[in-house]
Amino acid sequence: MIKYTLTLFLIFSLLLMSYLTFMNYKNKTINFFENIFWNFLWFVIILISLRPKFIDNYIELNFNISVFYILTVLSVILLFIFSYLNYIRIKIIEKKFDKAISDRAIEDFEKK
Amino acid sequence: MNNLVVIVPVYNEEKNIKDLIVKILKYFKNIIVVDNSSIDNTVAMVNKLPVYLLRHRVNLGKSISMMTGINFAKKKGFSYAVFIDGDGQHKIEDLLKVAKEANRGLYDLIIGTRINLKHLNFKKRIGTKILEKIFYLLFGKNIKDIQSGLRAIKLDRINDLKWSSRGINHYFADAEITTLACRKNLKIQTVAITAIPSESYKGMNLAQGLLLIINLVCWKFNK
Repeated sequence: MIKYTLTLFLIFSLLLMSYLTFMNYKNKTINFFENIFWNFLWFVIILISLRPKFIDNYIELNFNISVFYILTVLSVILLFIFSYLNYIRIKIIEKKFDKAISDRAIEDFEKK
Repeated sequence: MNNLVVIVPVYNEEKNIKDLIVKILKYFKNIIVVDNSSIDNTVAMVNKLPVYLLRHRVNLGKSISMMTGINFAKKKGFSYAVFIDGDGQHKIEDLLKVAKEANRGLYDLIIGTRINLKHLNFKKRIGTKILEKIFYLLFGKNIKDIQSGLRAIKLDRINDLKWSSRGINHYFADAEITTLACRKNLKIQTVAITAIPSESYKGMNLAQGLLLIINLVCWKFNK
């Protein structure tokens, strides 16, 4: 039961992500190719979550371990790495933005 | 008080700002008002007055307003910057007390500390007391009101007081400045003040209080 609930939750989340991606494309935050790339990614993940074992048919491993399991572990690692990188990137942009606005306030006054 | 400038960070303070600035102008000729992209008539009110008005085009919170004020004050060659909140919660007599201490030139940071907390409700009074005790445990200094907005900073020592609170933590800039001054062994003086209960002053809620305590611990160990 819990397995189906999780799958449903995952599918719902990914459909939502797909919708958000499309909205970002419509608002011109991302371009057409970025939209295709991200939507493709969401649908691949939906497929994998629906049929986790189907990739095992295509990829054979010599270990007694599911490919899906390996993918899950790798995904979690990548998720944390990208979250961290994004966090740092936002911090850097935030600092630059703060400085730009602050300097601009002083420049505007001096131009008067 | 020629070498001293009063910095007033403001955001949507059309009700109080004119009265406050007029009162300050009676005693100080150098005032910097940093408007944080107010959406009311704050700017129109201040524009008519003989002050330096700096305007942020985007609301970046109190912390960055303070930084803008400091950068401008340094550029103009002032040696002390006195901060006062724009909501009118501080009395001019208290501002004068802090400025008088700054004029003596003996201290790097002068903090106006609220001694009488009667205007705060029970929860906030307890919260302030707890914060005071935790601050004492961490930094060994008995400062009653670590995040008082009424304070003077010696601009020569500003490089030791580079605060990082911004974003959701922007209200912690005052507390961070106090901790930095303690950690860097700057000369700190406290001056007893009485706060006026203000309509717009809501203080911190429980979550913000806890966040401040976590920040205090981080600042303690942040080298």
